[in-house]
Amino acid sequence: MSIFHIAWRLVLSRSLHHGVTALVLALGLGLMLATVAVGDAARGAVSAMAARYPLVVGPSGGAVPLVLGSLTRLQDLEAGVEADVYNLLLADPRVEVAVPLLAGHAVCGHALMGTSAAWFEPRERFPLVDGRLFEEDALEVVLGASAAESLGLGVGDEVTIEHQHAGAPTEPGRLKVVGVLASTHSDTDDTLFCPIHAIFHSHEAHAHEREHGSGGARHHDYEHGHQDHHQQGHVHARAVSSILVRPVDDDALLSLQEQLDQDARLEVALTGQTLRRIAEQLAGGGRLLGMLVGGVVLVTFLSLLLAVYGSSLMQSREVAVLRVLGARRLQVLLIVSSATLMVVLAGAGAALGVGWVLAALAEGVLRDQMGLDATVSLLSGRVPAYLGIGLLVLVLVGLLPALAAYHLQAAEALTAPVGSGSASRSHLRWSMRFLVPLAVFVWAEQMMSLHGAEGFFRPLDAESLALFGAHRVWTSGAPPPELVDLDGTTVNIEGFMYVLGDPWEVEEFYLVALNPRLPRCPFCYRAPTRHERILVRSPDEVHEVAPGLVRIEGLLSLQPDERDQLVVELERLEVVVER
Amino acid sequence: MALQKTDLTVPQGTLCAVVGLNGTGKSTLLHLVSGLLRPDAGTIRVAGVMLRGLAETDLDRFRARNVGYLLQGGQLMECLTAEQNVMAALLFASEPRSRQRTRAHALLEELGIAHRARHLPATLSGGERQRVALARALANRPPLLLADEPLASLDDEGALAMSSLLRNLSRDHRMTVLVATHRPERLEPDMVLRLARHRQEGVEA
Repeated sequence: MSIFHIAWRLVLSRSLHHGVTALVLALGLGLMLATVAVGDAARGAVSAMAARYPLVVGPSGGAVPLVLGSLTRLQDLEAGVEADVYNLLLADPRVEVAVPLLAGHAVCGHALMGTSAAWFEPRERFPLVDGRLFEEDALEVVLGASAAESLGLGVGDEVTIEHQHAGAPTEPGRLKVVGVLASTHSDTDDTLFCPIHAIFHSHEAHAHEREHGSGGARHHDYEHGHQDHHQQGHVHARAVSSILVRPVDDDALLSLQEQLDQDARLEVALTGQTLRRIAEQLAGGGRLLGMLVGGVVLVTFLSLLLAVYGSSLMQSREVAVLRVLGARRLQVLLIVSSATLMVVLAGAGAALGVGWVLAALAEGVLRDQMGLDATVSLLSGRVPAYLGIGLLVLVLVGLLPALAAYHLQAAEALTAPVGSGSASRSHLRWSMRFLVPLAVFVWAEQMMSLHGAEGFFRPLDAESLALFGAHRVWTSGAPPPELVDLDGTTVNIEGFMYVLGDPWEVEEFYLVALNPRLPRCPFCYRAPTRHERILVRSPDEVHEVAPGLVRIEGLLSLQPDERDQLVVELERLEVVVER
Repeated sequence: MALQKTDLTVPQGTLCAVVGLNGTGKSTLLHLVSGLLRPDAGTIRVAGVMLRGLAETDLDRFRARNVGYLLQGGQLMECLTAEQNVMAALLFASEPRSRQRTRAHALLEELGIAHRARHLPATLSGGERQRVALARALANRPPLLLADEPLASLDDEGALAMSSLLRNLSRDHRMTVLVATHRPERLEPDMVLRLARHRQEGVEA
C-alpha cells in the first residue's frame, strides 16, 4: 500500500464522475489546441505563399481576385496579360523567378493549367509517381493524381484540349502525357499541367485550320508553328492569366511594383498585403470563432470547477478518516492532488487525441477547400505553449480540493453530514483565494491586449519582434533581431511596412529591439525588449498619399549596459513613402 | 464550549465507558484525546505524552503510533478493500510495505474475517464492517483504543461479540479502551464517565 495506490483507488471509486470530467477536459482543451494549431498552420501557409511569390501580376480588375485565383484557385482567372510582359519579367535581372499561369481550358472536365516548370518548385512538394515534368517548348502534359485516375491515362497517352473561353467555339489540341504527379491532397490532384506554349500553339493551329479549312493537316500545321516559334525565340501576341513573381530582393520588389503599376492594363498585387487585407475582411468571422471557442473553454473551466467542488465535498469524509488514521496534512495533500493529477493527465492525453483528429480534419479542409498547403501540427508553433498553460491552469484548479483537504478539520468533517459544513466552507475559501487572483490576471491580460500592449501570453513572432504596435500596420522585411550586432556599434535599420489605410493616419510606430543575450520565458515567449517610440513626420506634400508601401530607414545605436540590458538609441529615422 | 470541567484519569488496561445523551460531548472528548482537536484550556496526557505542547505533525505521528480509533459506524474507506483499509493504517504508522499485507491478514484472521479480506466495504455486513474497522484501529498496536458508539449499528449478537472483543483487549492485552456509548451495561466497563450538559457529571468505578 502506498499513497499513490490510495489516490488511484480514489479515482477508480468514482470512475463515472472522473471519466466525465476527463471527457469534458478533453473536448474543451482539444478544441482550443486544434483552433490554435489551425490558426498557426493557416498563417504559416499564407506567409510561405507570400514569401514564395511576393508579387502577382494580372489583368486589371482587383488584387484580391487576382491573388486568390493565382495562389489558391478560389477564384477563376481569365487570360488578360500579354505574354510579352512575362517575357520581359523573365529577362529582368531584378526577377529571381517568374511563373506564368494560363487558366480557362479543360480536359474532360478537369482543369488544364498552362504554366512553366518553375511552378513545381520546390520539387519535393510535387513528387512524380511516373514519368517526368514537361519540356517548356513541347506539346506535353503532366497529370494530377486524381485526374490521371479518373481519365484512365498514363505516360505515353494523349489528351485533347477543350478551349473554354467565353463565346469561343471548342477547339481541340493534342498533348502527350509525360508524367503523373503523386497525390498532394489539394486541387492540384484534379488539374492537368502543360507549358503555356502548348496552349498557344493549339490556338494558332486552330486559327490556321480555320483559315485553310483543312482538318487533316492539323498535326503538320502544329509542327510548323512550333518551329516558327523556336526560330523567333519568344512567344508573342498571346495572353496569360497571371504571373507569379519572386524578385531578387526588397528593392527589386519596390522597383518592379512601381514600374508595373504605371501600366493601367495591369493589376500588380503585393501578395502579403493582399492576403492581409483578406484576413482583415475575414477577421469578423475569426473573432466569432474565437468567441465560440472561448465560450467552450469557459464552459469547460466551469465544469471542471463544479467537478472539483463536488469531488471535494464527497471526499471530505474520506480525508477525515485518513487524518484519523494518522495521515499528515502533507500526505493528504499528496493523495488528493495525485488523484486530481491522474484525471487531469487523462483528460490532457485525450485532449491531444481530440486535437489531433480535429487538426487532421481542418488540414484537409485547408488543402481541399482553400488550396492552402498547410500542415497542422500539435507539436509546433504556439500549441505546446498553450498546452502547457492549459495544463498549468488545470493543475492549479485541480489543487483546490487538495488544498481544501489539507486544511480540512477532521473532527468537524467526521461529525458533519457529507457535503456540508467545514468541507464546503473550506473549499469555497480556498477556491476564492486562487480564483480571484487568476481572474484578475486574465482580466489584466485582456486589457493589455486590447490596448495593444504586449500581453503575457502573446507570442512575439518574427514580424512583431522587429517592428510592431502601430494601428493597422503590417511589417515585413525588417531585420531579424538575431542579426543585430550587439557590440556597441551603430547599425542601419531598413525595412518595409505595408500600410493598408492612409499611412499618415498612423502617428507613431514602436521599434522593438531584442537582446538575445537575455533568456526568454519558455511559456509566454516574453523576451526582454526595449521599445523606442518613433514619431512619423508628416510632410504636407505627401498628405494625399495612397495606401502602399512605406520604407523605413533608420540609424540605431545599440549598446549593452552593465546589466546586459540593451540600450537602443535612435539617431536618425526617415520614413519614405514609395508609390 | 463543547466540553468543560472534566477531570479524568484512566489507568492502563482499563475499559472506560463515556456515557451521556447526544450532544453532551462524548465524541468531542475522544477527538481531544486522539489529538484531532486541541483543548482551549486544560491538559491532556496520553501514555505519558502531553498533547497540548505538540506541533501538528507531532500530533499526527502520535496518533499514528499510539491511538487506535474505531469511528462511529466504522467509517471505512469505501474505495479500499477490507485488507487495504487495514494496510492504509499501517502505511501511516510507518510500517514497512513488505510487512503490511502480512500484518493486515493476521489481524483480519484474528477477528475472523480473513475470508472477506479482498471485499469492498459496500459488500460487507454491519458486523463485518465493524470488525474490519476494529482491525484497522488495532493495526498500529496502540496502547490506547478509542471507540465511538461501537455497538450502535449492531444487532444483539454482534453487539455482544464486539463488547467481548473490547473487554479482551483491555484485560488480556493491557490496552486502555475509551468507549463512547449509550449502552454501558453491555460493555461491563471497569469505569464509567458520565457527561451531561457538556461537563462531567460523575465517575463510577
